Amino acid sequence: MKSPEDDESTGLPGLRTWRRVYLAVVLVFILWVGLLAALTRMFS
Amino acid sequence: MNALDYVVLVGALLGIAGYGMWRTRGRRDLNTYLKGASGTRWLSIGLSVMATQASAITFLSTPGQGYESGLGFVQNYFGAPLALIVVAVVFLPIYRRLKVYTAYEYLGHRFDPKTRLLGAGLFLLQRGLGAGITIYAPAIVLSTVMGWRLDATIVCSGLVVVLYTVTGGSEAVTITQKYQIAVIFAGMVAAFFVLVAKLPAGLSFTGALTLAGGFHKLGAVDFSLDLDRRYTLWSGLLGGMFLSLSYFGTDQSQVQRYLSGGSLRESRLGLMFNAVFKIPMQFLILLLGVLIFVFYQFERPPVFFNQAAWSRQAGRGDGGRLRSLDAEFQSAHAEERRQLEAWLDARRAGNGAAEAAARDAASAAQFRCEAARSETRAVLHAAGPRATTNDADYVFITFILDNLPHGLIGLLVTAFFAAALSSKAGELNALGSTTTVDIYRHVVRREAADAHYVAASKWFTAFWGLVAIGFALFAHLAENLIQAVNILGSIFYGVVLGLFLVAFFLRRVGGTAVFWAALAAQALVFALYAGLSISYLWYNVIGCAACVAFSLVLQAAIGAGGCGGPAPAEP
Repeated sequence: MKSPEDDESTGLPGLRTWRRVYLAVVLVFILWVGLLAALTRMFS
Repeated sequence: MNALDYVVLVGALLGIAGYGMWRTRGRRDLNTYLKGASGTRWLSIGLSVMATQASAITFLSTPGQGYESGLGFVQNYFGAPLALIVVAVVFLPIYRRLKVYTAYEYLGHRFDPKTRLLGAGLFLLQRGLGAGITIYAPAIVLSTVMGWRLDATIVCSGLVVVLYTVTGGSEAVTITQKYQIAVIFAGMVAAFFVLVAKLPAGLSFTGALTLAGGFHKLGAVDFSLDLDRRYTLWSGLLGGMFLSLSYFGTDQSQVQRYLSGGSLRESRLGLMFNAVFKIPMQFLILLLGVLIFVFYQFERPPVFFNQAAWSRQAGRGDGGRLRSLDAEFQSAHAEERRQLEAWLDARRAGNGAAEAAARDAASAAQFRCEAARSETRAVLHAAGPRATTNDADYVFITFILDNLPHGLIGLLVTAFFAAALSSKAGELNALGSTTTVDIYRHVVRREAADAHYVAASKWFTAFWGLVAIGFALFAHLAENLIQAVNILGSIFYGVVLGLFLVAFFLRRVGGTAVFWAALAAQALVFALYAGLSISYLWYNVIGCAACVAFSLVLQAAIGAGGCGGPAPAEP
């Protein structure tokens, strides 16, 4: 059962639901891994 | 270190501790003492979670790891963002809904009192035994390099953290961690800029990266499926996620940090802050080590970075081999430097053939340097079984002491102590809270005023602090103590995670089944540890899987109507 707190606003502009926040975090994670992979490729 | 450095060190450490004590003076409310101020914002929570995880040895050793092995270690943290999302979605809302002080209190709600005691007992055993390491590990490195007395370093740093953690509780821990991590970041950024400024003239930042890449130091992501490789994308994602889930989801030293949030939103954003910034933070610390490697290609490094240990052994009658290895190392290093300078000149001139030839010659000289270093380690190891042969922990502090201006040296040494105090404070706070809430209030004295439990919590926190100091003082008596404590942690972590996964996801399993399943899983892990020689990290997986599987089997055998039936409805 969800408590009212679960539906609390994230307070983040453009990321109004928690689902979007988690998606954004996953995308940032993919970005970090992509940049690190690019660094590995560039200087290997 | 000179007087200015000591002023920075003592002033910053005592100033932060004193400020934390002053801000939290006179707290008598149990909720505030154990969970922190009700209005704690997400940034404070995020920094507090980060500061608890990152101990002094993180900042001392990780650059050394970058120096030795390059960036590959960053993959260990790839599982953390995904694990933090799971904690924010599943673990955190339940903890907050039940208004628990400790993670193990939830096990009491979900199962029964004995399972709660089991979870708390496993945490206290594991963290309690490891309590001294967070103080001991940086103290041994810093006292060796600085020439300080080890016992005085341990007692002084230990007493400071005990004092403000006991006085101000969780709120003081959160407040001080915010300033301590600011000091740590300031120190790391200062070291980074000094390092870049000290690279040889004509060698740009990109040139330094090219050089590091030539020595295979910039392999940050390895897609290999080879299980023998220590760090790969896949082991980082799977193993790292598993470990992070155990640590952030069930270890009270972390749970207490994010439960201090003023609301679910603040706690969640604090966790997401770590999910976003953990990987870049570790990357930058490793990159610092890689740049130190580049720096020491042009400046003369010691053959062995723990110079005190080397000098002690080389000064003895049979130290001739060490001295000749040092001479070999310096000769190979001089040749390497010549070739690297030729490589830089060829690069500037756009002469591709000369560039490749110089780089090959530099690699050959580097190989000779590494051979001399390896043999030095072997000679030191043969000289005495207790001689430390891993000098990676000493790389960064050696660079700092030899190359940073006074004032900044003080700032960096302050950063190491701040990291030690901040992670130790989180641990002590969690040990004191768990002893008070899950043992004392639950078993010994169920009804008392808040002030009584606050006083009890202070005594228990002080008790664990003194245990930590005592353990750190005698830590040198045991061989490979740090590894022993890590093994101990892995032996218990899997079963504790198993308890929580059953609680969250297997609603039909009751308290009796999971309790005996956890004990059986723990016995299995002990038996396997005694009989097998696999990497200790696997015991996390085995303990968790065994706890979950045994719970299902036992629950099926007991039956839903039996003792300790399925979970009550969530409030």
